[in-house]
Amino acid sequence: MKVQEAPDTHTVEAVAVTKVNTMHSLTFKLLLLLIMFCMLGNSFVFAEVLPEERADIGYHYYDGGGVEVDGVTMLARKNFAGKYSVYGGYHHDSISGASPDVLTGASEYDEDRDEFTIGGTYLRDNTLMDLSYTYSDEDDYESNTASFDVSHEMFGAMTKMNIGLSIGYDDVYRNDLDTFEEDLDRYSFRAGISQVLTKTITMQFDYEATVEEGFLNNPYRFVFLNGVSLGSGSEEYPDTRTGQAYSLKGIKYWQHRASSSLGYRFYRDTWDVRSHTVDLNYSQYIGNQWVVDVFGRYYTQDKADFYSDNFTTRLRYMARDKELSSFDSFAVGGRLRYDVFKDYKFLRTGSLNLAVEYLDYDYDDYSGIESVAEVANLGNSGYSFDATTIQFYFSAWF
Amino acid sequence: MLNIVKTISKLILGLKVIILASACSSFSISDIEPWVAPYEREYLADPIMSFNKDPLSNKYRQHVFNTREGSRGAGYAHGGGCGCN
Repeated sequence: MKVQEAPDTHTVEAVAVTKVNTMHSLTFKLLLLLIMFCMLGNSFVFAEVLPEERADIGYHYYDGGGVEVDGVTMLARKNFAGKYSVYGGYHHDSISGASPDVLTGASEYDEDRDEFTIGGTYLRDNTLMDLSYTYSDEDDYESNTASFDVSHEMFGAMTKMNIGLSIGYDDVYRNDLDTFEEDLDRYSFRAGISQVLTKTITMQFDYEATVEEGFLNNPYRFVFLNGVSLGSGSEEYPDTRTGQAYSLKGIKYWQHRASSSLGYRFYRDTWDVRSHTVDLNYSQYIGNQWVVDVFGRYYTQDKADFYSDNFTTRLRYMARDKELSSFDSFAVGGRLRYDVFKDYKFLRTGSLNLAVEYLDYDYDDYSGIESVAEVANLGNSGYSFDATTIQFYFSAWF
Repeated sequence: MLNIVKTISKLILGLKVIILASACSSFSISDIEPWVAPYEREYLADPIMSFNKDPLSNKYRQHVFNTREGSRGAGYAHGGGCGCN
């Protein structure tokens, strides 16, 4: 198997600085574009509205790649005085098993993850401001994220611009080593424009830059050097990662009470990971109580420049995380919504929803060996796995 | 240190965008009429025309992808842990 050697520290730093500068340049261009849109608009301003008041509660299940995850999830939003809105959410994952790249460094496990979100939205004329906080906790990972987003409707509500920032502080632990504790800081800046094109078509462009600093590798995984394991936690990643994502999507309404959407996203980062994502969705009303969604997704990714399934030379940075390898994936699924009632007491609509999705991941340069005993299989590409997700939830609008 | 300076400069740039975007709501240079009038937006207002008509379901779906892929961002959910160690 051909192993690409990773560049030395100075090269990686130089590339990182160059790419950050490029990002600044692109962000500045985006800024000018946003201002131009602003100056074009505003002559015909129609008031923005708060998001819909709704509540969702459901159950989710994932099974694939040696991992099972299930749990409850809920989200609710309530508006006040026509210009304030508060929302909250809870998500629970009960996780069992472990994927192969983790099994090589840690035993199979059972753990729980709880995620809480609270937020508030303020409406002023045609501008929405949103502030939210998300806390996630699991045995070996704790995450705190604060986000601030502003969206502004203009040009007679033909154009909507949004910008936002997120700041996150995470702590990484090891279940098998009490003294282990590392930090990870995350920052993201995003901007987007949604544009009505015709009576039936809307387009949206989004850009997001992410910066991560700190402990970015998995604390359990290990790498192989000429077929010899370097031990648990032997991955070594750069402590900075800067990524940029661009997405363009469009949605069209069809006269037979249906809509279809197509989206594309390009991502690249300073680790040389590049990806392309294509999303498709078709929604159709059936009668007055049913909505059927059919969706598909294709994803392809190039590996990070310091990834290898089996290194031939010890390098400054080494990764064997399959999420940083080269692979393709596709997903197909469907969602069924049934409106159980309308206008019942204080509820406008209540619906039952069932969503099922099948995912397939095919790796180009990851062997997927699960133990050191299988080391003879190192370098044999072709590991793949499939997974199924199921979501069942009740939604109410009030 | 260099990384921290770069991060701060990015945040400042982001704040500039917010301030300028807010400021631009007070002026305009054009009286171009919207080519789709409000009364012609019946189809656009239909719930199935939303990119995020099922926020709970979409957030979960995106989390599934984020934890198994090396890229993220641009119109997708952010924040939270992994559940993948």
